[in-house]
Amino acid sequence: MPQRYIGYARSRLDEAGVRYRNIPAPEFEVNRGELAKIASLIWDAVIDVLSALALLDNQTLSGRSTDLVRYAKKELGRAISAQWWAAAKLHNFQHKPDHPEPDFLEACHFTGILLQLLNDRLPAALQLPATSRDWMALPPA
Amino acid sequence: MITTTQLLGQVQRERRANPPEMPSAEALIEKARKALRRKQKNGPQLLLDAVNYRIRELAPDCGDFWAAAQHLAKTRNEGGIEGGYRGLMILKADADRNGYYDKEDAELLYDTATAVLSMLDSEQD
Repeated sequence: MPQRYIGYARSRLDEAGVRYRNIPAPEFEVNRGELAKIASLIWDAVIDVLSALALLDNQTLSGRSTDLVRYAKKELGRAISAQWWAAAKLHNFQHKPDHPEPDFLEACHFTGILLQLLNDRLPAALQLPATSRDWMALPPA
Repeated sequence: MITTTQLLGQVQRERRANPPEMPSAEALIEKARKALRRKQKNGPQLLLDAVNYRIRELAPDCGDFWAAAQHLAKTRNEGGIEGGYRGLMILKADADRNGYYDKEDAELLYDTATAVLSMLDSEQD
């Protein structure tokens, strides 16, 4: 059911947002473990949204993330393919949280844009609210 | 004994028969693809060179490719150009910092570069 996947995605993103806001700003280095958890929640939310889109698109997929990634890159447009690196970087970060802080923040920022692009493809009734991902935007320079 | 005139004629005939290959984004990306497959250290830079080559064609006066990519993204209302180009920069920096890249990294780099090139090209139609 697409609705169920979107529900999961919203729940994960809301949790990630709360965790992110609770991290003291200057403490990136000592909070890598928590940031890895946040990265994991965001990655899973992206996969949830993709799963919903694939179901709505009548795609026969195995449910493995590799199939979903292939579907995203091939079927959902060049802008998604061009910015997929950001989600992939968060996926790597959850396993090996060794990226510098600016890279982590940029990966969050562009994954937020990626989620927006995916969200735009959902029917209006299923779309995630902006509050689910607006915390991922980079602070103004 | 061959005369200078004959030698020059011979060189010109050989040049006509085998014209030098003009660089193009397509040729550069193919070169990059081969380098990535061989895990050459310069593979990510070659991809960036290919995208930069196309950006220079579109914005000949640009001094800074990142700024040019941002500008093109804005004027064409195609944010994927900016996001993709930034991704290439970051992924290349990762490869430089780590001193290597694996097969998945190479695929991600290549897919990102070809998606950006495709977006840059489609606006030229």
